Amino acid sequence: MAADATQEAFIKIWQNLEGFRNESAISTWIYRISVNTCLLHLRKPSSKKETRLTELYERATENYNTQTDQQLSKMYGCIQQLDETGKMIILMVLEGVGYEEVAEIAGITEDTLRVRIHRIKKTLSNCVQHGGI
Amino acid sequence: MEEFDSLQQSWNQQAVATPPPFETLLNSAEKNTRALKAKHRWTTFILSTLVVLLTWFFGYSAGFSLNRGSAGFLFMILSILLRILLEIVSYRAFNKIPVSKSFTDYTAQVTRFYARRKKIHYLFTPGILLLYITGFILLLPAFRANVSAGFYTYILVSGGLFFIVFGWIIFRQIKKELLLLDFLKNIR
Repeated sequence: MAADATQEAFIKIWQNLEGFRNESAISTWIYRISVNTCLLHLRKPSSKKETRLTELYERATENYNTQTDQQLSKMYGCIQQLDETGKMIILMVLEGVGYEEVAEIAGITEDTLRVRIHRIKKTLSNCVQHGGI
Repeated sequence: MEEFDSLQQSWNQQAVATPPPFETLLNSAEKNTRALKAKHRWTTFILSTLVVLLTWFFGYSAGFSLNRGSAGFLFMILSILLRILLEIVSYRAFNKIPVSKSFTDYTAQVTRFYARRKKIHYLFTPGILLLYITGFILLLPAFRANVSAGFYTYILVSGGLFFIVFGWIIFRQIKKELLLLDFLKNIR
């Protein structure tokens, strides 16, 4: 699914390149297209047969210690339980995207975003520690 | 937020996935685009062929007189043309939604699009199916009078099977779109 979504986002970025008007950073523009493409991909029937987030970490963390592995396992499971906007926001935050850029991608004010991030971080931490949202 | 800092540290320790080479991505994207275009061409070709055939039959039968049979052909042609037109308009409307909008704006626009599709499904689709079935029923006496009993039975059975299969495909598509609409409406 990730490969298909990447491809589709790539095609859309290519097709819409002429429409880019420097109103935002190119990275923001690319993130927007990618996030919007992934949104509809999540609902495709084929996505349900694909690997879920909780399984993906196993492939990426083969060489790490057990404690980190367990924490990551719980974390992926907890992210999966968040609503779609929450997932999108926290994944960008974890990847180090700045708040200003995340707010532009999500289409909400930075203040609203800060409140949401605070809540999501709290929910996620609680979930990883105690299990379940 | 100490707990989250610990989560962030764990997150950062993950192996970075290697993106596929640019050429692989480009080739794959081109292949998929070609397949998608071919699919659209085939769909248009099949529906257009059906319309041409029905039009030809209509011309052939209406040449003699404008009767129930020719009216049946006309209904069937109109229903298919209406369906094609609605799909083309929908396809274009969806492609006009700017994908580079913010997530909130894009979600709102896609939700509006699928809400309109819901209206189409509830108002137009039953009407179109009814028009097609009426056309088929109007044609039956003409078939009965002009073809052998065996071929007439074949027309009845294949026509019935067509409605069942076609109805099931439409039902699945509508169900899929309604689930997507529910999913989109729940995004905040």
